Amino acid sequence: MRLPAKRYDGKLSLDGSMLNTIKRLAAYGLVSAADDFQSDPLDDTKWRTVASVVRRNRLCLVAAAAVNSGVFPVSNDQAGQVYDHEEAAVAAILGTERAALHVAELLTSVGSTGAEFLILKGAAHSQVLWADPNLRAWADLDVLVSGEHIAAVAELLVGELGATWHDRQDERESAVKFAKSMTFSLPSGVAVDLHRTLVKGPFGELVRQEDLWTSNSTISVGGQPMRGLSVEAMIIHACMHALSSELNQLTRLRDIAEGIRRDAATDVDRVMVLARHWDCEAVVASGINRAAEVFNLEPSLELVEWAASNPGSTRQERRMSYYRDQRRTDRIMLVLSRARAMTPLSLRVTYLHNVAFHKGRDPLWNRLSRLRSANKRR
Amino acid sequence: MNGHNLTSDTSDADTTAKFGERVESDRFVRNPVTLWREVSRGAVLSLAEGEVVRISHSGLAVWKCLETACSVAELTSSVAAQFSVDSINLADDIERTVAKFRELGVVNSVG
Repeated sequence: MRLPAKRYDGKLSLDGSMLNTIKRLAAYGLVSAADDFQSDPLDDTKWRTVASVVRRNRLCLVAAAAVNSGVFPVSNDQAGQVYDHEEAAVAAILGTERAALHVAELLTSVGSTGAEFLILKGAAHSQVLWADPNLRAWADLDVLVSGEHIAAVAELLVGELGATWHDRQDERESAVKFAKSMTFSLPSGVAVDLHRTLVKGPFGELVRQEDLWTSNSTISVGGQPMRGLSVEAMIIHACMHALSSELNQLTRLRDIAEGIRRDAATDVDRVMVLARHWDCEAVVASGINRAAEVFNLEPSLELVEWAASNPGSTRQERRMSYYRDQRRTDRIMLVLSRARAMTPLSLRVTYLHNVAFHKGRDPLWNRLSRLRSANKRR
Repeated sequence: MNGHNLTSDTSDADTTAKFGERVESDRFVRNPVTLWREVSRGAVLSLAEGEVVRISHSGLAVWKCLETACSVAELTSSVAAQFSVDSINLADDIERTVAKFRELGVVNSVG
């Protein structure tokens, strides 16, 4: 079953020509991209639409490159806006890189040997997946830390770097044990997401932690070497990420397209093996199918062919539906489905007990809490 | 976002005065803690304290030369060659730019 393409234009409803313009702009610099844009600058109304989609999808660096190459014609005023956003995007990247240096230094002081960590998403995807790393923008820092150290790292971020922990005080114990990630804001304004796993819900639980740490890429952040996921794990993470939220969708799909382009250094078989190992072939296929549609990827690419063959299971499809739909019952099913994916059994029991009897961010707790309040009133 | 705009033709009077103390043989080099990236209108620098500075194409030309230690004379000659202009007309601008870079802490004097 081929899943319907998700909306990647946010709240905008775009007509065919505008959608094509945005798709081509989002694809600029990608090997498969066609650069046949309009011959004159867009009028103000169309320009505002394009500029808004570009900003919300973090495509400012791609847009600046397209303008500079001359293939995307703009007026002087439009060029000025593109460059303003380019500079803001680069300032955010540099701020994030500086934050990464501080966090990396902090992590060396955890325990007797320091806490191992991996850089996820923006900084890593730009260097490992993208043919031209300078085109990928990001604005926050995502760090995966092993479960045994995550509580200590959270305390250090607050105590040593003066970070603000976004979880409420009474949610923190639960967040440390069970949240996919916890968000902190450094005094510089940079947001740091401290990850336990790659994605919320059941697919996050099904990721084998040992696979994340045994084969890694090396990236340079702020001039310092740091570790990221393997390129194959990164592609799967990009697919999971595209499933879990509508934010920044075009850049997320481009991460996938960059990772599977013909000249990428990706072990295609390893992607399939990992996807099977993590019971998420349907998620990976969905991400690749959507990237192929948006970026017009060659059908003969091995992973595009594989994705088109619907390699996932019915159970995976059902789990995916809990992410896609935002009804309350789906959010509750996401919690239950996640619990079902947890091993060992004792962890599952602890998680459900925590959800049911402690305040936290899980929707099941909120639902039960409202039912209890309603019963009391009756 | 906090930040400065810095172009090589900045004319801050205080930096000129500061630069009066310069010795002809002084050499300057980038402070390695400065993070930076080239952009369409020049470059963006991130200072150690996290503040951001934008520099123009001419400022970027000076900045690139400062990867290795350079005197103002060497910088002037190199930038003049890149932009095909007379180095005599450029020297004051280069002096002011280097002075501003020092004030911001993005370059160090290496004596």
